[in-house]
Amino acid sequence: MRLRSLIPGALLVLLVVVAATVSIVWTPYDITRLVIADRLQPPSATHWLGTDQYGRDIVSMLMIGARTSLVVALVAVGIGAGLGVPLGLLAAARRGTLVDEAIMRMNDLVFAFPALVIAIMITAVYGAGAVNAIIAIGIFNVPVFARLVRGAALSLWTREFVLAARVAGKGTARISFEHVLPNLASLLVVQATIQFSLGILAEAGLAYVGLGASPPTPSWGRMLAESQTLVSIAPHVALFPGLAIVGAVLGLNLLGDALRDWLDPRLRHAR
Amino acid sequence: MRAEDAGRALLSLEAVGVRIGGADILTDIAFTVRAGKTLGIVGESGSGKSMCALAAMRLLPRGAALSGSIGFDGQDLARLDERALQAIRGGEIGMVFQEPMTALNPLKTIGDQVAESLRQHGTADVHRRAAATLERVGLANDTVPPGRYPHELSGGQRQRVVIAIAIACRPKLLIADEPTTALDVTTQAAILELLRTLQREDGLALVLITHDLAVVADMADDLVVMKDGRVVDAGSFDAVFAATGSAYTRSLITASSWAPDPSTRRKAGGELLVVEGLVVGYPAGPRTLFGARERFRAVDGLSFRVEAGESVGLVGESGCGKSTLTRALLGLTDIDEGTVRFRGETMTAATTSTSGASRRDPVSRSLRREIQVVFQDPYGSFDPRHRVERLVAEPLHLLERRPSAARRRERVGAMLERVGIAPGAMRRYIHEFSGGQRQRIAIARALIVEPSLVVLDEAVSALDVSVRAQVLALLAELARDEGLAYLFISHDLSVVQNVTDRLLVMRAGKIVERGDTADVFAAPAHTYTRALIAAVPTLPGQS
Amino acid sequence: MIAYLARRALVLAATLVVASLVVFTTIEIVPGDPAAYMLGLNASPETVMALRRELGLERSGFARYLDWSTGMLRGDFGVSYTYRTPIAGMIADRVTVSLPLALFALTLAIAVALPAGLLAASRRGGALDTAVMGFTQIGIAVPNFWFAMLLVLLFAIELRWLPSGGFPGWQAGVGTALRALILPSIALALPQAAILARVLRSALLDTLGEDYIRTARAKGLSPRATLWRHALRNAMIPVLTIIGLQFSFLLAGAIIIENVFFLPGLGRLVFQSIASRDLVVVESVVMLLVFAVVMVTFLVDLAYAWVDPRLRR
Repeated sequence: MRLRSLIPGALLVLLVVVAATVSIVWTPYDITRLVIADRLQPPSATHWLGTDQYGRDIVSMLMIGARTSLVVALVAVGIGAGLGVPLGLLAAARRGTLVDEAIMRMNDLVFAFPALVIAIMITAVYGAGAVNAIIAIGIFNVPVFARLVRGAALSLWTREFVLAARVAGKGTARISFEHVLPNLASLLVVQATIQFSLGILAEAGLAYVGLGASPPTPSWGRMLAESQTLVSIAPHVALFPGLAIVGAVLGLNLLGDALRDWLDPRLRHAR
Repeated sequence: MRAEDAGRALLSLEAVGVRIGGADILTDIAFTVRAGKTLGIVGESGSGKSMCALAAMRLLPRGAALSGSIGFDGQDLARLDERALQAIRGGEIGMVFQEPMTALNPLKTIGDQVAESLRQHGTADVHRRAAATLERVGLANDTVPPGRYPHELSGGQRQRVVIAIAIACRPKLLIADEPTTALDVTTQAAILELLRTLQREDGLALVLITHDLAVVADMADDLVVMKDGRVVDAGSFDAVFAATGSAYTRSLITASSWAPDPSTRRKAGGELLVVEGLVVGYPAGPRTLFGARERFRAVDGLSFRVEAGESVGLVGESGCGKSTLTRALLGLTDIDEGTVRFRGETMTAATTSTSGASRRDPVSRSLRREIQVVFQDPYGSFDPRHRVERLVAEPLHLLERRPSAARRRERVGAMLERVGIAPGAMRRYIHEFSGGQRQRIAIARALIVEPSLVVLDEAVSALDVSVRAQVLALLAELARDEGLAYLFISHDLSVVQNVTDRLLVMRAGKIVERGDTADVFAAPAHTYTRALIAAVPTLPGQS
Repeated sequence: MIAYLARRALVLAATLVVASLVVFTTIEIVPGDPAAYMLGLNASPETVMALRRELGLERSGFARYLDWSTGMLRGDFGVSYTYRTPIAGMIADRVTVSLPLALFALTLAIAVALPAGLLAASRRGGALDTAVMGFTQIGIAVPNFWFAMLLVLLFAIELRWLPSGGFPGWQAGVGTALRALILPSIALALPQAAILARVLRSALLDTLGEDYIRTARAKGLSPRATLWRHALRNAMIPVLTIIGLQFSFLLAGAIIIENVFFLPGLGRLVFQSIASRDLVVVESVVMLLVFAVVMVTFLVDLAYAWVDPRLRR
């Protein structure tokens, strides 16, 4: 396994997860209190990463923002996999039939809409908010998983061990769960990690343009949006949220790479 | 080539070793290829014979360390730099590989790929020469123009293109690594004949690497036998083959011509499987605007029967429809017309559904119990994530009352012992077993529900010759003890000849000849059967 | 090949039709009364009625949909409620910014990714390969709008080489206009280039493991000649797929980048319309974006058929 990827990846991800979890019960400072007198302080001993334009401690903001990012990305992956995987399995099991065609066309349809555009449509009508962001990103994740699962499952259905199961009298649903799905598991885990990291990026982007979690919930993306006009006076306000995003996404990608190597069947059974 | 040139040493390997990642793949390899003559290199899988060829061409995989000397025409290939080697590859030494289907670049025309070889070695007028080379290998320019793409050609045709590429610059030596293993027996005969012709015309030295002793027997002047990365025997073919060969070589020869004891067969009689007027098709060919395709009749009105306790062979080359037939018999695919009956009960009949995997299994459980199957690929026919116990027990799903976990374990253990695998194996995963062991496990899986008929779908084709003999012996023993009937599907006539009572010869979806195996082989009636039998290479001493 | 392309065209056209239905339903049917929504909570019932008449909301949903969709086919996107100008004209104006931006970014991305991926694959395992993989690993993790802010900080504010935002318009001269697009294009191109470089490298490595590469080496071709003449073209097929898939992300990125640099493109138009609740504009722009994505998908299919003779039957 590529330790080079695993260790930094796991550390970064751990850092983000711990920060997010701890933030539920404690942050260094209370960010609901705006202390204008302390605004825009550079990093110091009292405020490790400085304060923003409202005097809020950036470390605390980042910790709660981590929570937002992780929750949005996680639920979005949940929606994508929860709907996409069964659809993909169904399409592969019913290959060539109307059901398969319908699922593929539905995939094409959703793919025609970038996640941002889906978010735009939803928010144009229903207003901005974290839930709408989750729905938008989640909807976009569904065809990603469906297409992946369908493709991989199709090639598994032609394998002889599936034929053997059919000769043993097993039906398509049983075979899908006993044979096809377990052999897809590693592929799914890796893809879920990728979609998770993409979800964090997407949430940041949506929050940046105002379509993400609404104030006062901190979000890394919105921190960047608010800091845009201040970038020349107080660059640290723009720097740290960006670094947080890079760190989280990078960590997840590295972890995903290490996972992919670990789960690669060719490397597992090296004979 | 002058008369005195023929027979001198052209390629000499001495003390050649290859190490990859700390493991010795080849140890102390030494043999000689004579100009204008053919050297056969035989060995089972893992013997390192392909690695020898790659070593000679200096095309070893990354991280491989080469030792020893490779003398070629006065130079030591092991010491040459990359530029000098590039001049030799294709120019002095040509190479043909095993898989014709993937050996050509799908995005370039065949003419371009041959021309590239010519251009690489400084020839002028490459396209005309390329077209001429294609003609030489039997691809006439008017029927198979150089502008064709590989996907428009059959396996045999593609192999001819690969040969064309290899000999375009008239090299002195041609190395052919399992050139016909992936081809049908008649195509194999044609390709081997082509190689013989080229050798005669150009004075080409030929190295023929194969696992099939019979192929080598027809072609080779000299013989090298390899096992586990070492040379076990080397010398002229007659010498090695006759009396002076080592014990291993003797065992290979025996295994290649194994036949069961005919007197031990027991026939119970009574009709088991009756197929009448079977037609199975699938959509094929170019798609029209709305995606419709013509229906190709892979099985075109077939009728035959199998009786209890007998072993029926079904032979045919690729594309004859035998795989489609197998699936239809096992109820894995819908059929268009006709019926398949088992002990009088209808197993499958034509339905109107068009999907490959019908919602409801059309075959009843009780019937499924009677027919089981052993597939070809010992690696792909098992779910890599399940332990052996679960794999072997899978058909128990067909029983009216599923056995308890303890009872299940008992049955699996007994079955594994019966096929010669220690019962403790059931706790392990399938990747821990060799090809031959996996096929035994596959047989255990097929027999656990006590069927009357076992379909052996190319069940021994992927096995090494010595392992094959063991598995065939096991199958013969089981047939005798349990009164099993077999439907033995194969493209390999030499295997079928020894293990079946009756024979069906299939071509283009129809049965062109049928009868007792011995009779068909002694006096084949149909021209196709005759061509098939004539194309089978034989060992000296066999008929 | 004609049959293949014609079938793909049909499928994509059908997708567009269904997409338009989805857009229309989400924006005009689901909120209940679009007019009330657009005017807000404080509007008087008379103003709402007037707007309803103006927008023709008295007709059935289906009739309105037909009007709208056939109108778009004719090039008539309706009239903006906020600006009282034909939307088609507004869109045309904005497209002259958004389209060049997207194309510029795509070109930059490919121009950087191609050599990077090639070098990394040809020197696999070496220092250059590791460096490329390292850079691209970071590149795909960087949000393009943040990178844009950093670029502005460095090149516009500190070094003053390039403008920090705004678009002078094409009439001010091609050179000046392009200068305004340089930083935005670089910001957009970075994550795309990183992804493409990785995909190309991976596709090349896969291709280099194929049997026909071994045949090429056996002919006497050098490793470099093999890479150029055999591996590259075959590896382009999966790369094309990714370019097609990434295009929708590129569009989304362009929309966001326009915000950072105050570029008068489609992105700013759509956000301004959301803020002013001008649903008609939102509808039209969304539809246009979807059309662009579907169009690119079709172009990728065309490219496949051109590159791969197996599809040309």
